[in-house]
Amino acid sequence: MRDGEIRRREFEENAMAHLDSLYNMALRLVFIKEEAEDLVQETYLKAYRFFDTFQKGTNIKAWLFKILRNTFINKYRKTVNMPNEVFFEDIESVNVNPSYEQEAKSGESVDTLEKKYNDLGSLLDDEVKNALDSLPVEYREAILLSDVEELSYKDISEITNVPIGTVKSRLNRARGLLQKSLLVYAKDKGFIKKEK
Amino acid sequence: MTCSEAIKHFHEFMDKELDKSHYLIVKKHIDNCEDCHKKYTYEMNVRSLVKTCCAKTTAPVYLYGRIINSLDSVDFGVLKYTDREKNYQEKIFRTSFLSYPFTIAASILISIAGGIFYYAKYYQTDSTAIVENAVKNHVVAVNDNLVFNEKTSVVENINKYLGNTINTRLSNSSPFLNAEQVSIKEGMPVRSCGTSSPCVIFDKGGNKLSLQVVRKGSFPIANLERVQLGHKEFYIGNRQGFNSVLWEEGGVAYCLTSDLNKNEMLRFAATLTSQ
Repeated sequence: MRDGEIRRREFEENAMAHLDSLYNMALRLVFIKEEAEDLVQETYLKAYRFFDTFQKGTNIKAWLFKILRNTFINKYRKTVNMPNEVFFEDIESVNVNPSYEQEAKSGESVDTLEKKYNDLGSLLDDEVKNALDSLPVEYREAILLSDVEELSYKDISEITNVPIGTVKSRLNRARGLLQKSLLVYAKDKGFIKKEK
Repeated sequence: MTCSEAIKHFHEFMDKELDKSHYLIVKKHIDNCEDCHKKYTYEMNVRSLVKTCCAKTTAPVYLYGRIINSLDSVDFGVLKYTDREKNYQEKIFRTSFLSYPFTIAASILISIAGGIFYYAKYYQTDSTAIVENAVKNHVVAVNDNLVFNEKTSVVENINKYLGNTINTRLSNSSPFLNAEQVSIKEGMPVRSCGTSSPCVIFDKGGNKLSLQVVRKGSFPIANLERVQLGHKEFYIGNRQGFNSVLWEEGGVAYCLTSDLNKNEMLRFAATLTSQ
């Protein structure tokens, strides 16, 4: 077999297995199906072109995610300005509902957790996705890479180009925000049900 | 270990990012503390809720095939300019013509035909193509580097956009543009793949763009989209993940290629056209 054919086969066997993961991430980044498809296709083309630079034995999924991310930033940087951490903190402190803050300070009763989860259980997939999409892009990305794709902090730090400490703090913040956002959706839903 | 200490490491614990001894201490606490255990279960449930929801999203079936097909174009692109590729390009060329007989393809082909006609008639005597002029007058190859010589510039309308950023090392220039396909022929950088036209490489804020003249049989982009910008008409296409902007000026068809986004390229292309 020629070198090119071996290379092609290796790529198809190793890289193509992550198509669904990449598509899922792309969709949560650009929201539109067609654009997500294009983004994933471009990612694979670039990956294939640079397949020689991939270090064998390292995590190919993480490598593909990094290419996806770079392609995304390159393609959409005019429209999506990735803001910095400080900016996010500002957003959060402005948007935080005072009742949540009080709740947190008074020490949340663990007994309500079960009820909370039951509320969340009633959420539809679209509502979970909406809650996820409402997060700032860097938090959304962190949640997807960690909680959905189960990549290590080290891999995430390499993909997103930030130190591991930043990955940790982003994840903590992202999870907190996501839970709040999910509960808001669940509450709205309960409210609507009661109205009827 | 107290609850607050355990909670401090909660996420790292769940992500399995704690070292083993630390992990076991936190685990012991969570196993024995009812409150923390409830919190842990809650966190895990929320995570699996999000994960299950996302795992349901799968790529459309046709996307796999589409990507595999597009890998072919990379394989072909990597090859030297062989008959096989020539046929391949001509095939796409014909396909684009046949599939849009009355629309976009026709109009771009007419402009290219114009370019070819112009080229055939005038190129031998006195070329005014921006690309050729720029290359002939301002780009010299020194030790495998393409150095744009601003001082010897005589083509004003191209020089003012280049600034002093052009010092393109072939070996270091963006691999996205397949710079290795650029070779030096008779002292002029020429793209060996796709076209025999000389090629100018612009460095715009770290992004490489290549500009060349489109000639007969060297136009392998299907599905062009027509865009009007000011008084000028441009055609946008995509090939192998690169965006291309084509336009016609003074009977010559130009093609600008890069991995920049379409709008940015369009704006750049507009600055290259004469006012």
